[in-house]
Amino acid sequence: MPSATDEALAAGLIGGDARAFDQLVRRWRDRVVDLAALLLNDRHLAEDVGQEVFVRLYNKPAAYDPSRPFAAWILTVTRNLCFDSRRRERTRSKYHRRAVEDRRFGPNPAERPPESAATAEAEARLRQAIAALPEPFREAYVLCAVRGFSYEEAANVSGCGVKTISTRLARARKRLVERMSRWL
Amino acid sequence: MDDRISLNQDRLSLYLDGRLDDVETQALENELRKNAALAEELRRLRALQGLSEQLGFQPGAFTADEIRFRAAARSRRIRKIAISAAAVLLVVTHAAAFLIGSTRTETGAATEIAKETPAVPRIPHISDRAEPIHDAEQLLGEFAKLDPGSTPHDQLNTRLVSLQQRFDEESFADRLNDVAASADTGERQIRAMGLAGTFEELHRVFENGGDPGIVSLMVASIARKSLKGEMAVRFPANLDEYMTVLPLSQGTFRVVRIVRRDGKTFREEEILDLPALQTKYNVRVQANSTRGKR
Repeated sequence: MPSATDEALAAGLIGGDARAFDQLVRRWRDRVVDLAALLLNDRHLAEDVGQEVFVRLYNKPAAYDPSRPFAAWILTVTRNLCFDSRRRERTRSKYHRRAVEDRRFGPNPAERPPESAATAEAEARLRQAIAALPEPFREAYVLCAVRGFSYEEAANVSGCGVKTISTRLARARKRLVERMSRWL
Repeated sequence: MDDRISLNQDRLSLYLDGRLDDVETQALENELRKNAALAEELRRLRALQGLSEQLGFQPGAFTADEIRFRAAARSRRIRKIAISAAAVLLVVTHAAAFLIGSTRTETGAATEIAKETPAVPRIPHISDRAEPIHDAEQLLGEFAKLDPGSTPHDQLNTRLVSLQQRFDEESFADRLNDVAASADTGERQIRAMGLAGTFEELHRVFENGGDPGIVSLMVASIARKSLKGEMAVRFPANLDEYMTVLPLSQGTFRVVRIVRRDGKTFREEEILDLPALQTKYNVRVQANSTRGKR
């Protein structure tokens, strides 16, 4: 069933099709983890969130309504779990948070060798600057500017209006330009 | 940030994403040619966008089987927690039930004991009665409680004998006279007198002083009858009839008689002055005379 849509696969999963789950994981795993990584700026937490998203899908596939776009549903779940995870992180001790700082993204030569040291540093700074944005701005920027979602898709995931996404995106860009002026 | 700059920020952002219509795009491009600062802002935004699009993709490292394993582990954990919670709940419930059951058992036992234990003999106290009269049924009950097994009549006899033994005739009469002479207010004593058969109370009245009129009247009557070997006829002698006498005003008395006839109890009340009282009930009362009792 290689050409089946996500919605059809999800419907099959609800009906008990185990292979549908395999396919959905293959299709969406990286996008889910990547979005989580961008929102959380923590690769380990992102991996946890990614797994949690699929555990939920596996345990309660009926939580998804097949009449709606699967992409919006799974990204919304990812987004919500990211914010939950971030809230939990805030309540942890500062010592734990210090340890988390060490896991944050920096240049990752093993995964994608940067073209230059300057680029690697700029990328690390940008990730930090994105992570420092307020949640709504960060969400809009990651979805639209970083991963190329349309305003409508982003609005669907975020549960807000297109105009709101537009405004949040502009505000996020303004703040990032200020923070990244040295590298721009 | 003033509105113009804010507006430009929004327009540049929209322009960057290709979301301005042709007219707006043309207008902005014309402005960009004239406004170097705005053009510089757009350049920086483009640079930021380029950098953002180059951000490395972070792939996931898990497989569907790992997710299944994790889901199963969670189910087991949840099941374990549920079982533990159920076990704890069961223990707590049983403990609570045990404790409650024990309490109930103890309470029940106490109740049973209370039922089996005869009432503690209790002499009606003065303060227990607002009125000096209580009906014959209640009186019978009181006597029965005092000495289970003996008849009320026996009770009364015993008490009279006991009273008689404590005082010889002379000293008893003197004592009555002293009581009468003390002229204490009578309410408390009178109430005691109204409690038919409570000779201990009566004795206490003697000890503490008493109303000259009513105490003399009543006690003289009882004492005289008892000393003559008779039962007190108008005081609770046979429990078919008893009487209380209350002073109302100077020289008048309210006489209440509780009479049992044909198994029914009747209450009779009348107001008498002292001569009428003496005549009707055949008592001779001389407050200051020790011989008045006869």
